[in-house]
Amino acid sequence: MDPLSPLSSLSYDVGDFLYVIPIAIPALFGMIVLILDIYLGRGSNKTPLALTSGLGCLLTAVAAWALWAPATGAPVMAGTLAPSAFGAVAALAILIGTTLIGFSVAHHSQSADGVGVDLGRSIAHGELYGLLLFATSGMLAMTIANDMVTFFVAIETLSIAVYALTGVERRRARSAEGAMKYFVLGAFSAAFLLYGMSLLYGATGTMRLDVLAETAIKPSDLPMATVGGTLILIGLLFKVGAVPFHAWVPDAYEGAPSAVTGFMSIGVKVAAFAGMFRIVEGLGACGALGADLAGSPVGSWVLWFVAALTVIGGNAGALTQRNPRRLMAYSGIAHTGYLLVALVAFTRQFGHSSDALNMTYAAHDAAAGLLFYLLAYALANAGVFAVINHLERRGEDVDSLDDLAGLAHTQPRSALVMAVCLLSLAGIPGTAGFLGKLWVFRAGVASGDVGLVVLALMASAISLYYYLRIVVIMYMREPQAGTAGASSEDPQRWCSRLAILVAGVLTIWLGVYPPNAILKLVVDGAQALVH
Amino acid sequence: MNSITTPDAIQIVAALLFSIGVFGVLSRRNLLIILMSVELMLNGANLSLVGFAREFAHLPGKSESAQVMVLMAMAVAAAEVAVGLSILIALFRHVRSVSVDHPQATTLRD
Repeated sequence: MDPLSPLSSLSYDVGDFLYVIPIAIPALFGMIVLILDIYLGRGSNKTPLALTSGLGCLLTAVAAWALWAPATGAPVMAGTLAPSAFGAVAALAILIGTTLIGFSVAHHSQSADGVGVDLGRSIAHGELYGLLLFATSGMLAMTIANDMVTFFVAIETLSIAVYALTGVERRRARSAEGAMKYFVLGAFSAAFLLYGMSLLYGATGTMRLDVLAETAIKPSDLPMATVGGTLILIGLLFKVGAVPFHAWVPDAYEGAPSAVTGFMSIGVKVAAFAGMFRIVEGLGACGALGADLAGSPVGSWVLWFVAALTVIGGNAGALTQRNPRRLMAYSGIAHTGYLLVALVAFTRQFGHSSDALNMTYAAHDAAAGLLFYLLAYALANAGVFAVINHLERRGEDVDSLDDLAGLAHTQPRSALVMAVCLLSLAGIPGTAGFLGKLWVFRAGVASGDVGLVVLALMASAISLYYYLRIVVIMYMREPQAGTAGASSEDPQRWCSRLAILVAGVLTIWLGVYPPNAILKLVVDGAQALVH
Repeated sequence: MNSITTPDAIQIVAALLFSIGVFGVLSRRNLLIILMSVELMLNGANLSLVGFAREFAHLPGKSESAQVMVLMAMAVAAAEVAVGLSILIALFRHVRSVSVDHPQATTLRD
């Protein structure tokens, strides 16, 4: 049937519903967790909630791997979804974040003896896990959305859940303040996104990304399409915290409880980048990224500048931070910059340069690099925040880097994992972060953006300073008075220990000997995006 | 077609609504007004979507799915406002003010 006929837009197979399962499971488990929380009652041990949400994430990961990975990226469900290995890898990265962060906060509220009261009493647990899972559902939908309607609903599902999560610790002024800033700027950017989609629709007459990619826009409509594409990209760059639009990031990250900060830094970024690549693919293919300038669309030069600014701004901002969460916020901005290098390399294929074949290879590398980088980034950030959560569970506030002093003496295993994850973020060989960076930067070199890659390399050399400073503080300083003493025996701490262990082991495993199944999935994902 | 509702007229009104919203967000200091301005932006986008969908009605090769999107966007906006107002109330309990000029609520520190 003609894909554009009105009837075909309503027709779908019953079998298509299979592809919705990975999106439906987290939403279903979100509801289960909320109900379970009522049965558990106040002040009880909330570990079952963590286990339930972990089970939900595990089922989702299996479903995504089994159902999405073999799919080719052809549109299903009346063209609203395009499941592929690309979505499967992004889903894995998101689920790593949800599971590990969920486990690491498992028993905040348990300590009735007065230890950990600060966080314990103010995070309502059922809501926390419920919102985590609802947000996860939106994120997964975003990675395979093939329709701007689905895309918008998905990004808003995750955003609204994360606004609420940021303010979940509502008795603390900082939490409410961070939530408000995030909310105002997030809603502002959502409006840009919606208006951009409208203009793009006005220029092309379609909401579907796959149809968009094959649409030839009339020259008279091209300016409108370009403006629409720009507004969409602005909306998405807000979400990932690229530099002209990053002002909300440090405050939201600092204000939110550490658990939520960890989740935001992983899930929102992974989903937004996966969505951005899919949208940019449609934009580039229909020519909405602008006319050619030196062999590639104007849009990729604009993104070049955004990437350069983000890499510089993120790393420069992180240098002076004393609060671990603010430091991780700027580190997250810097990583957005490295990922934008992949996006720039990806957009080069849409120009009419002399070596189009080479550009396609570069785009393929960029998409594969992005996916691997997202996995590595999710693991490393999950590790860092799992350790911070683990410490906060003992009733310590981790509001300054000095609070981490001597961690190697008091908590040797946590300190080791934290060090490994920080080195992975810095991109030291032997960790997953190194391979991710290598892959992304290789794509940048292949697409001819040597200058940008050199800049990013120098910036990541600078980033070593602030990552290693934490390692030095943990290993070379004596523990502060009171830090060690706050340790109370919590019989059920295995949940967060497990999260920390998994993050550390997987970071090393992916970095030293990445399993073939993962590599194949990553390459398949890139294949689904770049034909 | 009625001359008052030509496609261009609809789009101009939509663009105006959106711009008024942007101006409101950027210039007003009261969080409630900022929220209203964001709603104005969303409604401008909605109007533009409906306008395009009407323009494309019965045209070959064009889809009218923007009509659906407007319904979705309205539902989403309602949910967003519900969360936003609760956050505003939570913040108000701490700072007793809805102005972004309030020292605790305004500074985007670096």
